[in-house]
Amino acid sequence: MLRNSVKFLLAIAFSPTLLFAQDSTKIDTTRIGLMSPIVVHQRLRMLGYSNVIIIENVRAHVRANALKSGRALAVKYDPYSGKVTEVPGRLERGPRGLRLVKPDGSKVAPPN
Amino acid sequence: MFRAEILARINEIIGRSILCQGDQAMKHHLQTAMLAVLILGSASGLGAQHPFRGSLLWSVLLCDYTDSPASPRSPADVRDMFTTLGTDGVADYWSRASRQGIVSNRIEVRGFFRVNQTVAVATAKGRWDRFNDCVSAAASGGYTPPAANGIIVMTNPNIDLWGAPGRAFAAIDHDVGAFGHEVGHGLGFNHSFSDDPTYRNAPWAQIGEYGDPWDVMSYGNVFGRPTARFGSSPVGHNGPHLDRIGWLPRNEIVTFGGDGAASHTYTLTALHDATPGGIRLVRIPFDPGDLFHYYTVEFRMGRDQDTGIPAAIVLLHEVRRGTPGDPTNTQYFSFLMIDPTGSRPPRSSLNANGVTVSVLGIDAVAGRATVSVTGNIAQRCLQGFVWREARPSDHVCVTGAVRTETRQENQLAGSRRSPNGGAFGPNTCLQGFVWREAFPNDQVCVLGASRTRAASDNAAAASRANPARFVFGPNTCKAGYVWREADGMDYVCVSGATRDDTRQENALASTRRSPTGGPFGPNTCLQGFVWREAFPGDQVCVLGASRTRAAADNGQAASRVEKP
Repeated sequence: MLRNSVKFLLAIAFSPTLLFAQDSTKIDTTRIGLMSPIVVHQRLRMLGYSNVIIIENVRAHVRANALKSGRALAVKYDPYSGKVTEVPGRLERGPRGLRLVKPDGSKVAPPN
Repeated sequence: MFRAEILARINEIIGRSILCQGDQAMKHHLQTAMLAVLILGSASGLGAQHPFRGSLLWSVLLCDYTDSPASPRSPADVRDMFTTLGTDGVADYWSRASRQGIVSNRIEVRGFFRVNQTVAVATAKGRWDRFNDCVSAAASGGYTPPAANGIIVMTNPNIDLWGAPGRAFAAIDHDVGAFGHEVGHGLGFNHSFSDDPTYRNAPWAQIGEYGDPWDVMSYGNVFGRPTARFGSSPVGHNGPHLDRIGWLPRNEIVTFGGDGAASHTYTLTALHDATPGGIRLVRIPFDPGDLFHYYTVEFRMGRDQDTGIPAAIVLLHEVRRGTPGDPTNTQYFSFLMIDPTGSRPPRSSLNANGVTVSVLGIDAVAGRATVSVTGNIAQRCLQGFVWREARPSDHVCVTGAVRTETRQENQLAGSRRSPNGGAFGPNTCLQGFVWREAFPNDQVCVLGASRTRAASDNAAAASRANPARFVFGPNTCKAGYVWREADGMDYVCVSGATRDDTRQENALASTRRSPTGGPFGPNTCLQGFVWREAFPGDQVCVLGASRTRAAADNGQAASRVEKP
């Protein structure tokens, strides 16, 4: 009985339908690569940033701390559209996840 | 893309829609029809084919959803991006990459079409469902892509990015790189790899896959430069990819060893330098058993198509069959060669398989690099032959059986000499034996037939040696065909007679043009002649039948290369 129950649960867990449903909830990434750090640095350098420190590099975006015209900025870069969002301050990881430390020292969630 | 994968995708598309109804006959008909469409697409530049120059036949469908935000790009923007030269968009990218061999003015941009569902509903669907929803919305809106066209779906907002032969799904705000990559799949390019066994770009990637930031087929892991309107524009293709699709002129490619030399110093011109000329790619064969397996050398620097490259650099690739995750794959892939020490940068020197490569200097101002190459391929034997080794330095190519016999003869040499010497000195042979004379002063005593065979092998030596003479790259024609050579980068395989005709047409070109020009400019043909159009811009005046033949040969190009 127990063995049959385990079989049943495994069958459910690995059924193509369920796997497909899980897969369909995210962007299919099988044919697109992620930017490696050397590429992130080069792309941001081409956009005028220096002292780039990568904080987060996932498929949807790269977050980095960088300098531009002497200003410390938290940068979000979309690898596939090239769209850049920048705000004054710097990003840091803490117990509550990624936070933006604004120039006045206050900490907020990084902008989307 | 491989037929099995295509079938798998077709099954994925139709399986969910009709298999639940148990209609296997319907499935079969749909499979056949869709496969036919994809194969027709191949003839129009949409499938895994090379060489290729011509028009990109794509329909770009713009779709949005019931709750889409305002679009960051208008249909006119997208039209400019894909079809208008001078906008620094996708059309310019492909035109530059192909040296004007790719024409984008037949790409059709249509939309926006409204898909009657929310973004959340669309996002939750499968990728092919999302794709088909947009195609259906376009059909409802009055536009059905021509059968020969590939289809790019662009949605507002971004919910997916993928590509397959003749199909791509992207977002309205995706950059030139995304379409450089996905259209590249449509043209038959594979992903590029590095040979770093420790590199895995992403959990879904094979070892080494996407490991060549100097090649757009590693996107998004590629260098790029910002454009004014269309996001980042990626670097060009690596040398092996340009070679594969036939976008490097013959006089800009050198095959090391083809001239019999064992060492050479090359001055390389930057691969994507817009000014024609110079050596752009050196193939270095080293594997007599596989003439499509070789190293390549190229020089890259941050100008023209490669403006995004961080520094001038010489790159080495290995071109070989299969991938780490799919070793039985019969296609050939490019592997950027990585220095396994330190931070694992690209190799600039090599010492493997009898080949050495070293960079002697880079002149970034002049856009040149000097490299030294040595190798023994010119001394190696064609497949089926081995060195005879009558003495250690004897590199005459013979069959394996002859080498075995030669070794036996050497072992028996002492027993076949007259122990007391004779008329020919201490090496005088016993009666019934003669000196072999495989090389000067070869006084090993053998049967007469063996000496005759040695002489015969010596006479045939040149024809059995140096496989590099037969390395012509990825567009090597099947037996019975030769390159048409309508221009310096025409790799379409045709009959010998057609090539002769083509040469004659080129020679007669000036006599068939109207001396006073005409409605089509200075290249207007005399009456009775038309432009050949063997490739975009081919305005050599020929008879109508010749133009028809050129078009037919172009359609057959992919089927006439030895390695698809």
